[in-house]
Amino acid sequence: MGQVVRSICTHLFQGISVALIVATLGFLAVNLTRGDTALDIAIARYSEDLADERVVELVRREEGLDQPLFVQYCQWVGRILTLDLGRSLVSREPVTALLIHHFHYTFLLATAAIAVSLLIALPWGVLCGIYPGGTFDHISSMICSALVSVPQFVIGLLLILALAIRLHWFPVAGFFSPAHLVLPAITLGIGLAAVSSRVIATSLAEVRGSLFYRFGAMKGLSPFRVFTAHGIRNASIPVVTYISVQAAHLLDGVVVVETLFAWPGLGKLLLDSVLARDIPVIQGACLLIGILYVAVNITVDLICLVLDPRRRNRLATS
Amino acid sequence: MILNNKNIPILLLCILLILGAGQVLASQPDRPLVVVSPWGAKGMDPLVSGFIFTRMGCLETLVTTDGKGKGGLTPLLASKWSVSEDKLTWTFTVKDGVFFHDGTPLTGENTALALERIFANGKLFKGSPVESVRGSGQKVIIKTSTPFSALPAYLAHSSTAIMPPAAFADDGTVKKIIGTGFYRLADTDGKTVFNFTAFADYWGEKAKIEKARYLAVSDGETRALMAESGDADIALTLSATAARRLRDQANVQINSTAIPRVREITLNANLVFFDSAVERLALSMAIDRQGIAQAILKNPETAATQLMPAVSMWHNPGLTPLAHNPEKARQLLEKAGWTKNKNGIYAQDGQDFSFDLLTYSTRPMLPVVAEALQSQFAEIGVRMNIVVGKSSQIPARYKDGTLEAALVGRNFGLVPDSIGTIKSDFGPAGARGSWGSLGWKSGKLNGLIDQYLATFEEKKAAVIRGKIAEILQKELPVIPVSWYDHHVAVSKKISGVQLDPYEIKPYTKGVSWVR
Repeated sequence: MGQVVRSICTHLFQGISVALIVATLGFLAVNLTRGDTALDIAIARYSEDLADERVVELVRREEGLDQPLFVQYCQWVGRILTLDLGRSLVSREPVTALLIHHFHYTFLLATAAIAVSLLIALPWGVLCGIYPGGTFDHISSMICSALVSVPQFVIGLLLILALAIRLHWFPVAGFFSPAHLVLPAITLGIGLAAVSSRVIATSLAEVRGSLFYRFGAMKGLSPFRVFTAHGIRNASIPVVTYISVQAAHLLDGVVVVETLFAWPGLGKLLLDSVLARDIPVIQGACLLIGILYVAVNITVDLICLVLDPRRRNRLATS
Repeated sequence: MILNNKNIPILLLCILLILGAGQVLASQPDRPLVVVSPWGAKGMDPLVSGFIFTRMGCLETLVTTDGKGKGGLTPLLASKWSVSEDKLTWTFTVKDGVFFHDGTPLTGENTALALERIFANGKLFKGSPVESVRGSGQKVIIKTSTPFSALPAYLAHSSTAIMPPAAFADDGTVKKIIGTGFYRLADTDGKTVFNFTAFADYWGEKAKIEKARYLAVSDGETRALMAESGDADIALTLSATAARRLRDQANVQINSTAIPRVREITLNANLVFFDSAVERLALSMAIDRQGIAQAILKNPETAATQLMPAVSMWHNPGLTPLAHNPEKARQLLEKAGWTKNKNGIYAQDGQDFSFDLLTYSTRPMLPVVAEALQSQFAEIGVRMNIVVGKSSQIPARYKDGTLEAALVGRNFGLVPDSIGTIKSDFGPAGARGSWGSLGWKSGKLNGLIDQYLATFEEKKAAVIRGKIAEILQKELPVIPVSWYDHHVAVSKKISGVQLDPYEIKPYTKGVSWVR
């Protein structure tokens, strides 16, 4: 148990360090790119029509953008130590509140997308894994390749045209009811399912070809019993790892889908903030994404420890 | 066999059940009137996001437009206004019997308090001659340092919406949106969705639909699809292509209104290519505006014949329209001392007529129009390189003097009278912003601007506007390319939608469900 806690602490320390480094790089990248931060903020806040030189200079003074970069960075670090991420330069809202608002929607979408992908990928991958190299497996492989190569916005548009415009089953865009979650979740879930099903199929085929699996069958267990006792758990380890990578990608932000479905997630927030050079939001988002990656990694490690006794033994003896 | 043929129908049934559940969830009783727009809030302060609340009928200003274009004004919270003989003191009388959503009556005092904050912090009034404001009874007295005839037009801008003292925290920040409009704000996420309910004690014509929702949807295609599916009742700012597609839909009608926004080429008149009116006229003559308007913008009416569109009070019908004449363009360049080199490009003193045109993609048609311009300029022997960047690069390069040319979508309808934008784009050096002509100046035009601001008689003001438009047409400090249309999809389930070219009057005013 002590080893597990130590492993989690190490992950946490590494994650927070990486997040801080990424946030620092974000700060430097925005400031070292050609252009004037005060001007971008003025345009984002007041529109092009009102952002003249007088307004830009006011914004520069109001937001402390006339301070040297080093001072601005030190101020940010000082705030971080008191767990204050500052305020958005555009909307003047606290960055923490902005991140919580957008993360809430990102989390909802990511969870729903993974649920959809599993709903499709599990039966599909298991079927392919049970009959590897068969006609179904070959056709599935082709379908997966096709689905992976179709851009997400095309899938999204097709779903909107079919399920929202023609059938009126779901709303096109927005975020007011669970129904609004369905189309973006399916859009993301289809692409994820295409890859997940191949990972499941390959993993299952490997497990089914292993000595321990065949031994189970030889000692008289029914195919169902061999599958449930020896197949699922062993085949699921690479699948869990892969799905965690997908989850991290989803938390990171899926701007195209968020834009198409007017879903207020983290990806859209980050994109808008980068375009407007809203440095406190960029830094806050980098920190949050870094921490989320660590959280996902820790969760996956813990799940793998539960699933795989060999890992537990290795951790105990290390 | 883990999954046999018997199990597959069960799986399909599960999927159908989930889809069916979604459909049930999607149906919403007591549906609000839904307005979708590209623009979200940049905070809850009307100084930056007031347009959402005024366009939805939640906040109101002292003055509004008459909705017919041409800068016509009509009273809203003010019942009348007048200016003193020395033209430096304005008196606005606010209407009796008007109540804010929290029950506070509208008075001269609380209007003055709201305006004081607006004049101090509102970016619209930076550099304006407004000096002070005070309220007494139902009167609001505004003093200016110099005559400022455009003040009523400025008081129609959404950032000048009036809120009572209870709307503000002690530090002056906005605590809550409280207005006088026919809709009151019910709830919001502060960014993209704003829900309103009808205000029973509204002083004028009450809302006919109990609930309304404003939703910011940045993607234009999504807004069009929302209109098509019936999810949106009013979908704003659609592309010409989407509007054309939606015209065939049975459940939607498209309202297209000309607005006072212009696609124009901003030039650096300090450069040898653009330092004389002859060269600028040559470039103007190379542009096939009808072709661009027809092929790209899908409306030949949008081809600019002068800087200001007909919907603006600054449009001068007496001007000779800008013409397309490539042959004449070549002659003009040769008259200005340019000769063609062996590559077919005009050159002078060894320097090719070759320049960079900066544009941006946040206004979608600009890069496409830039490509058309590139080929039309090439036809007469002028090389133009297109640089697509961020819009903020234009004022940045304007400021450091490195801007050569830019294709911009300039808004001359910020307030119903464009004098502020004209002064900022073409006026005296101290008043210049960063979007107009660079390096071009005209003492005569500066004099006319001052004269206009001090003229309070419409007939005389119209004459001055005509003279200013004439100078801009002759000198071409910027080259107008096309005017803008505002395409709006309106559901046939509603009636009464009237679109204001200045987007000042509420979209929701007088709108009702079709029975």
